[in-house]
Amino acid sequence: MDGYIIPTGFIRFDVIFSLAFAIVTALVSAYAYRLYKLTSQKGLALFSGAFLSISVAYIIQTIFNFIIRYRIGELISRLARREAVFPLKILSAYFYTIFFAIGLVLLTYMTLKTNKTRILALLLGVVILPIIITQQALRIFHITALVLLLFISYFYYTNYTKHKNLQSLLILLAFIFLFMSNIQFAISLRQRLFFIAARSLELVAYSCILISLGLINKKK
Amino acid sequence: MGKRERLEVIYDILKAIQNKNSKIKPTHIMYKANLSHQMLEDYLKDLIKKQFITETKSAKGRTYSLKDKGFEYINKYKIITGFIESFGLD
Repeated sequence: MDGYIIPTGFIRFDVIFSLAFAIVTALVSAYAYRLYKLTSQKGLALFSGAFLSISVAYIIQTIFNFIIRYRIGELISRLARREAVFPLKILSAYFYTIFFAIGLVLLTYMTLKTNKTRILALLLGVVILPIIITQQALRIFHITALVLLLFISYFYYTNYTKHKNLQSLLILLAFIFLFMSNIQFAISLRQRLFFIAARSLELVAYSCILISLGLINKKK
Repeated sequence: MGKRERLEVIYDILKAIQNKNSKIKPTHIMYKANLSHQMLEDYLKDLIKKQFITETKSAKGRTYSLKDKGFEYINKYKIITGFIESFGLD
């Protein structure tokens, strides 16, 4: 199975990055769920589920990166570490891609504004199955994620043209940055420096979401 | 009826109840929220079920008052609509 080529010195920062993204996405999920409990709008529940799934993906990535960086490195010799780290990286990549893909599928389904669960089942099947059965899960995941993120970004572009406010602009920018970071991640499977660029773009994307959430909360 | 519209109607009903110091008759709500009799009955039934309001029956007829969840909805209405608009959930 393929894997990201992360610059060695960046792994410790990567743990912080993925933990920060896990917190932001969990926050969005919890926020949407609180509003769902108040309004019973199905879209909010779906949205909450999507961000929860993405948050779980980042939590898994954080835990595995933490184990790889701080535990295995300290306890096992260099040769043994190389053997032990490899299956951990595979497991991490599988769980990360599956949960992130579920999140993106739920977001895409939300943008379709339909109640037909058959469409959701189809999307889940088409997106998740190739990731599970292939040996190049990350490659397949990033190609699929590019398509889904392009679709979601276009949806948020139309949403911005409808409302024309700063909050919806920030959400549009967030998904454009996530789309761009996904391109960098795909390249980082071969070139290590692109991984840092991808993470930086993700940081900008989640900052946009956080600022937007802050602005919405200010309306109180 | 769209999601935003439905949320607005609920807000109008709850606000009408709040403005009358939480004691209001259905006819007044119908006027304030600009709803038909049948639509109002459906909304009131739903709001009672979700514990936003409570119904009191007396010899003079039915009156409605807000519950904690109803007050919370009014207080968070701008956040709800802001979130729904920004994340394209409308």
